[in-house]
Amino acid sequence: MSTKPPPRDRLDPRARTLWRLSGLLGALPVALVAVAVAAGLVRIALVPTPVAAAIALVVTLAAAVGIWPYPDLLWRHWRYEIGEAEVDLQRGWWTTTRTLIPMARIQHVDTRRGPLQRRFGLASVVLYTAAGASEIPALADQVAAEARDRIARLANVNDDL
Amino acid sequence: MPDLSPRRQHPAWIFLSAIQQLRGMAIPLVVLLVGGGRRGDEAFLALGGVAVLLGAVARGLAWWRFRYEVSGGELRVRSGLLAQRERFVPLERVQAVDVNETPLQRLLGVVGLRVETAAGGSAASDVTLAALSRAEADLLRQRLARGRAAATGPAPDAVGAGASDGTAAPGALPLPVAAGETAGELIRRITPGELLLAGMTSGRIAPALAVFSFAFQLADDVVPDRWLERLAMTGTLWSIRGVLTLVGVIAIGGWLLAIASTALTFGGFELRRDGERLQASYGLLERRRRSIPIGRIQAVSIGEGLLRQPLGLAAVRFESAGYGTDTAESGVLFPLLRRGEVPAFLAAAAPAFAASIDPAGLAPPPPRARGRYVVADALPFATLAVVAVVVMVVVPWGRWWWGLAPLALAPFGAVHGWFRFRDTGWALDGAGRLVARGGGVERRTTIVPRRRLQRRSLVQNPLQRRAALATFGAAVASGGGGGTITLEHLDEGVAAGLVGQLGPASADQAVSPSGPTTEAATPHLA
Repeated sequence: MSTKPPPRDRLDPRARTLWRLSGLLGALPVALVAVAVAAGLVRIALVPTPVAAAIALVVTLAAAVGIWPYPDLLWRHWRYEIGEAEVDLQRGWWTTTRTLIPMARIQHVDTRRGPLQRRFGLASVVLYTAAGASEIPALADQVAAEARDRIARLANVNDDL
Repeated sequence: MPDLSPRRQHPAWIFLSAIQQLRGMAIPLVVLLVGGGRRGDEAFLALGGVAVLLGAVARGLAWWRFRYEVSGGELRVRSGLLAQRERFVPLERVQAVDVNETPLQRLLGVVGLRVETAAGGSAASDVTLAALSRAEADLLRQRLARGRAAATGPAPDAVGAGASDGTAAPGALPLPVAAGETAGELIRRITPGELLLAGMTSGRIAPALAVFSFAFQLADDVVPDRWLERLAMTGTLWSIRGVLTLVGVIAIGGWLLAIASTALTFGGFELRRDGERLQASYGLLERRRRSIPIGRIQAVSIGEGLLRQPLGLAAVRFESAGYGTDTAESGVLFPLLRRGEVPAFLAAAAPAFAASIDPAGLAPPPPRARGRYVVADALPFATLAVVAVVVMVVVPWGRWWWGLAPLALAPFGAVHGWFRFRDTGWALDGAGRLVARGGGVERRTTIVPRRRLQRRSLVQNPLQRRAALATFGAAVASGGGGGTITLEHLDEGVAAGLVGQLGPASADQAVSPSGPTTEAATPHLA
């Protein structure tokens, strides 16, 4: 999409499994609520049973997109590259967003590990500029630590806002 | 030397903070007094008296516990009745020091002082001293500035001059004069004619809404329901003539209120340059004085509201890391200028931002993007119509075609989109500044030096990909929400070239945006 080659590095492949799991955790309550509401509607005879079943099924299927194929699409389209002068992030399957953050503008950098991420040995790298934070999600622990250290080394600390 | 021993605010603070607390309860109090006078109220009044007494004691203690000092290169504030709270602000983190003066403060012979820090838009990160004597406020301002100068290196001695000039006797001038207001070289002062014009074209409806909602609330609380019912019964309220009159009265009243509130807010607006700082002072009743370090300005934007466009008028604002969006006027550099005067004004006030804003020098999005702007702004109404039709089909008392009503607004959306397309444009000038213009109801031109950009982005959805278009975005550090720049539906090669040219690796080079066809072949990244 641009004249500059897209960023080179991909996220850790285990990210797909992680996202699938968190997609499942998100979809389960939605499915339960949908079934309960549908059952309730049938009980008070507001809608016929097939219609209620269809609504519950559609809602459950929509929530299940978070398990498949969304994580795969997300992973396939997430790219990043930590260059000498800039951090280059590209993500999104439907809407592609490419963000470039100059090293000189980065104020500090974190690695973050949630409870689920820890199970998979994954970590996120979060970059902070004066205009907000950007995240590289789901890198292997070792890779994330190296990325964090590299960014911290390259980021210019003397810059005034 | 720049230290300041621990001290308290002026005792008037007790009164001021009590008033502040009472203001929130004004309407219940009025209702209580109007509707009072029945038996059994004595106990209630006694309870109220005790509460007021306790409140006064608590305010007094709070005043006693609140101390501030300047030492060790920091402004240190200690406060809190039970839980002690300490806040240390390093002087080099101080973005600006504002002096405010409400009529009440003037009556009590004190001024308010607010220290803005770089920690973002929330007022919680700032230090507010609501009651200082003029002399104390001057002293603190001077110490803060001197400490900051010592911490950040070379600085002009302008600060001292500011403090020594600020001794004008209050009341000696037609306008109230905040401490140190006359320091520095005058860049521009608003004339009464400009002030009136600014009010007439401001399009501010917030003050009118506030007044009307207050009036309705008061009417609801105080006027007996019987009267309102009788008014409704007689039908005078609901005849066509009645409705038209009401609308007319509200519109004209709102317009007059907008003029009055603009005059009160920006009356006597004066911008001075004092070395590396700008001093803006404004306000008829409440006199505010903002001190803006020029080096902290991230971006300057020139806004032309709908009513101002045909008259060639504009307001100039700035984005700075310290200021939030807590008040509407917080980022105003000058409330009204002729568009042609803007470059000269910027050259005097903030030369780093004095780029040409001539529309002829701006590259527009390609013509194939026009339909996208128009459709994007009309589409919400069509979506709304679809939803409304579905709802009307489902509910038993509805007719399906009632749901088409939102479509009546779609043409307005389309016109808005066409305005946006017409106004959008960009340029990258020889000094490495991005000039980006966006439109709609208000046309806004933003000027930002390349090195102030915190990030750039390129966004493309499949529909844009098919038409080889992309949306360019960028962000500067900002306390408020105004720190983002978006240029929708540029040619994808142009947008990618823009992202590349604004990056740190590229040299400062001029790009003449002569047109989409030549731009598409930008050799820079090829």
